[in-house]
Amino acid sequence: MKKKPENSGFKVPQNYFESFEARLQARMGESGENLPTETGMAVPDGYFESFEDRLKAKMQKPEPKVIPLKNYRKYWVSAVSAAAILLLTFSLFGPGNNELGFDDLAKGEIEAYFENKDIELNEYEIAQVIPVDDLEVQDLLDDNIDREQLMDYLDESLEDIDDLNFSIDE
Amino acid sequence: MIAEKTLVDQLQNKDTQPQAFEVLVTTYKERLYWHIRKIVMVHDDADDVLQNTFIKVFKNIEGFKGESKLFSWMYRIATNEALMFLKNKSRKLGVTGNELQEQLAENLKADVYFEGDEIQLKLQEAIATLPEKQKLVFNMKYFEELKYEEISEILETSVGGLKASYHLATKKIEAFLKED
Repeated sequence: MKKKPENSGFKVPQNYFESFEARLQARMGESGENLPTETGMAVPDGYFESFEDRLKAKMQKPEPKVIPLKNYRKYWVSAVSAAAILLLTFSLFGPGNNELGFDDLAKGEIEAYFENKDIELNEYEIAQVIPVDDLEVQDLLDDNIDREQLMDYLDESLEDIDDLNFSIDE
Repeated sequence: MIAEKTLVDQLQNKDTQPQAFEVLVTTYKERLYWHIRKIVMVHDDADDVLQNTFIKVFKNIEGFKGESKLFSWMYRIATNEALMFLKNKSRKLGVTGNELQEQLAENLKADVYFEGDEIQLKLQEAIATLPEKQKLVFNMKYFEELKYEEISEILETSVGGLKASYHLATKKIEAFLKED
C-alpha cells in the first residue's frame, strides 16, 4: 500500500479539507439543519476559579502505604534446606556408604548457595513447589495489618467491590 | 504568556517548580477541561480526569524531553486519561464502549450542566456513534479548532490519516442528522 494518497494519482482541490466544514454547514443549512459550533456543555459557577485549590488538596492527600509481601525465597530455601537435611541424614545414618557426594554438603553451604545466587524462579514456579493450602495471609506479610489501616486502604484503592470475588456466605 | 521552554525549565527545577506548576495549571486548565469533557461528557468525571491529568503531568515532568510541545504532551496525557476512564467506567457498568457512549449522549438531556438546544443534543448523539479515533479527531478539529499538525502531534498519527478520519466523521454525522 502506498503511504501517500497523492501517489495513487488522485488529487483533491486546494484547501478542500480546510473548507470542508464550511461547505458542510452551508449544505446542512439548506435542509434546515445548522450545525452548531458550541457543544452546549456547561460548568458549575466558579468551577475554574476554585480548581487550583481542589487540585492542591488532592495532591497533598497522602498516598496509601504499600505493604510489601514477604519474599517467597525464604520458603523456597526452607523447603530445599529441609530436603537437604533429609538427604544428609539418610546418607550419614543410612546403610553404609562412605563415598563423598552431593549428599555430604553441609546444610549451611546449601542454604548460602540459595541465599547468594539468583534462582530465577518466577512466582508461578515457586507456587508449584510450595503448598499454599496451609498458609495464612499473615504468613506472607512482614507486618501485622491494622484493621483500620486495611479498611482505609480498601476504601481508597478499591474501585469495584466485585474485584474482591467474595462468595455470598463469606 | 510565559515562553514554553522557560516554563519547562522552571517545572524541572525543584526551586521554581511550585510556582511554575501554578502557571501551568492556570494556563491550560480550561483548554484541557473542555477537551476531556467532550470525551467523558459528564462534568464530575471531567473534573476527576482533569485533576488526574495534572497530577500525572507533575509526576512526570522531569522525564519530559521536549521532543514534542508541552501542550501536545499534556493533551496526550489528558486524552489517554479520559479514554482509560471511559474504559473503566464501561467495565464497571458491564456495558460495551459503544453502549456507554450511547448512554452518555442519552443522559445529556437530563444533565444540569448541559445547556444545549435540540440540534446541539442531536450533534452530540451523532458524535457518540463515531468510532473512538474519529470522535477525537472531530472534536479536536471542529470544536477545539486545532490544526491537523497539532492533532497529529497529540495523537501521533499522520496528517493524511487525520484528514481521512475527519472526512469520514463529518460524512457520518451528516448522514445521522439527515436520518431523523
